[in-house]
Amino acid sequence: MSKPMVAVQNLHKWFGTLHVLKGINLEVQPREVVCIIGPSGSGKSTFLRCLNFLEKPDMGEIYIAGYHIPAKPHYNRKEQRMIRELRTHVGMVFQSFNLFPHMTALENVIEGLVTVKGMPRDEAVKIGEYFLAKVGLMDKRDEYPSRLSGGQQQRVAIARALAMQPDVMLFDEPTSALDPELVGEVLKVMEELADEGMTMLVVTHEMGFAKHAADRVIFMDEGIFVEEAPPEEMFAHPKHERTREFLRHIL
Amino acid sequence: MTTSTTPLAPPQATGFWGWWHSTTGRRVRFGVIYAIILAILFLFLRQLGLDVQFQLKWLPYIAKGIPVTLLVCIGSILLATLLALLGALGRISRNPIFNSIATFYVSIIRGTPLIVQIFFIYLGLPQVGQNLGPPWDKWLTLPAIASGILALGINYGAYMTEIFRAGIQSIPHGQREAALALGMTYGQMMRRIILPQALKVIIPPTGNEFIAMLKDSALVSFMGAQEMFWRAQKIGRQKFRSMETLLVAAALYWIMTMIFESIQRRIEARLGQSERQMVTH
Ligand SMILES: Nc1ncnc2c1ncn2[C@@H]1O[C@H](COP(=O)(O)OP(=O)(O)O)[C@@H](O)[C@H]1O
Ligand SMILES: [Mg+2]
Repeated sequence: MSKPMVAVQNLHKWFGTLHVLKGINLEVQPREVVCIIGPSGSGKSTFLRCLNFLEKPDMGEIYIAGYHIPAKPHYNRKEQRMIRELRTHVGMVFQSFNLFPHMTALENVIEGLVTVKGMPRDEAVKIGEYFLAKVGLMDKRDEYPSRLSGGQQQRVAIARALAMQPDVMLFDEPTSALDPELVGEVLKVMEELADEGMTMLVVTHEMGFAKHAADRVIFMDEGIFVEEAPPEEMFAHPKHERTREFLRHIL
Repeated sequence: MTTSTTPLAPPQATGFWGWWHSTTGRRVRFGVIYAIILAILFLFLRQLGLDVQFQLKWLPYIAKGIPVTLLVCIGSILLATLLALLGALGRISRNPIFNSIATFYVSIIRGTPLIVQIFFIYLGLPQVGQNLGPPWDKWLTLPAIASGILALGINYGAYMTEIFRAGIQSIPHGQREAALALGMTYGQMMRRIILPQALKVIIPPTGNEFIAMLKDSALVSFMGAQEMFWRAQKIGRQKFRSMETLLVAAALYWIMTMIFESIQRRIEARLGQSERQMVTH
């Protein structure tokens, strides 16, 4: 078997005295798509944010996109540089899009290339246009985010992450903030991405997406991974009572 | 042919009353009232036996202080902006040393009178220089305008630190996360993402600070900077006509303030426009 794209061992996270992640273990192979489901407050976002060190993990080991960084109370300069480098290989898409409002769609997409990777602007524009076209928004190239619908904003945010040409993509409830009629266009882009073989970790409650695109679904509750299974099995025959109850709730 | 069409706009008064309620009419009314107040003030001042000829004669001399006042203000606001930026970054920093220095700076400056700070820099610094010996004695004995810029800049920097801090903290947390997730350094995030957005929040109150500074700059006359107030005082004392010269200086300050207020309104209108472009649909 090839080297995993993501490997997490015994990951713990506390917010003060609140134990949010209680020993998470996970391996994700290249080209695999893993969906994480679970009730609100179970630690799904915190887990994703630990993977690119937006949250500092308190215990455990994280291996991602070729970088191996153990949890530590403090990272020295060299480790901080490594974390920044790691982030250029790990794309992240947020629930609330977080586009830069003072930049056009294209400027949003090329910002990482120009500022972080130091790429010449004209070269970055070519790549940026390619990814804007990929998410179907070439015609919105020079629009500011405020003039885009939620679905369009999220597609620009996906293009912004893709432009860095990451090895793995993290999605944190990418469609939860959208009006129902705008969910489809975002899921379509994500499904295409999955079909092309992008390694993806997706926190979502879109069962349709999970069934179509996911190799595995993980149910998370109260800071632990309760069970995991291929989507058909997870939705048809959940093993744990907590999983059954959660699925009853959302289906 | 009788058709009943709905009018496109509410019925408008025409003729005199239409004019009276129009925008121009309102401007003219305010202008007239303003002129009457000024006329009353002028008549009142005439009663005091002011020598207008004297005022006109010395107006050019006092007005020569305008460039000095502007130089002091522009120099000070630039220094204050730099200090406010550093102060704000310190105040939001988790680094205890950087944070404490910024907190201490804001506290000590806001806790002492501006005039004391001015004298401290003008009289105190050279004394420190003397005690340290060469070359400090030369370096710390500053010309009047430079000490004025230093004093006002340090003072306003402390007040503006809070403006900058509030501006930076008004930017949603998601912006910071999106920037970091792309692999940006703290500096890149501040320069490219946070500060450009915070500027929209920071600029209007900074304009207010500049206008306040215009008037506080009169205090640097105590250092011998030959700005408007210094000149007005000098001539007033010499000729025993302080009332006249002070009125001239006051009028000049007032006019400058009104000019800068109108510039500020224009900048804010433009900021509002780009804001609308960014925020509304
Ligand atoms: N920055 C934070 N400080 C303190 N508590 C937090 C913070 N972020 C999340 N939490 C808490 O951690 C728990 C897990 O949150 P989260 O990971 O956002 O859950 P989910 O994404 O599954 O809804 C919640 O109880 C939440 O209140
Ligand atoms: Mg969440």
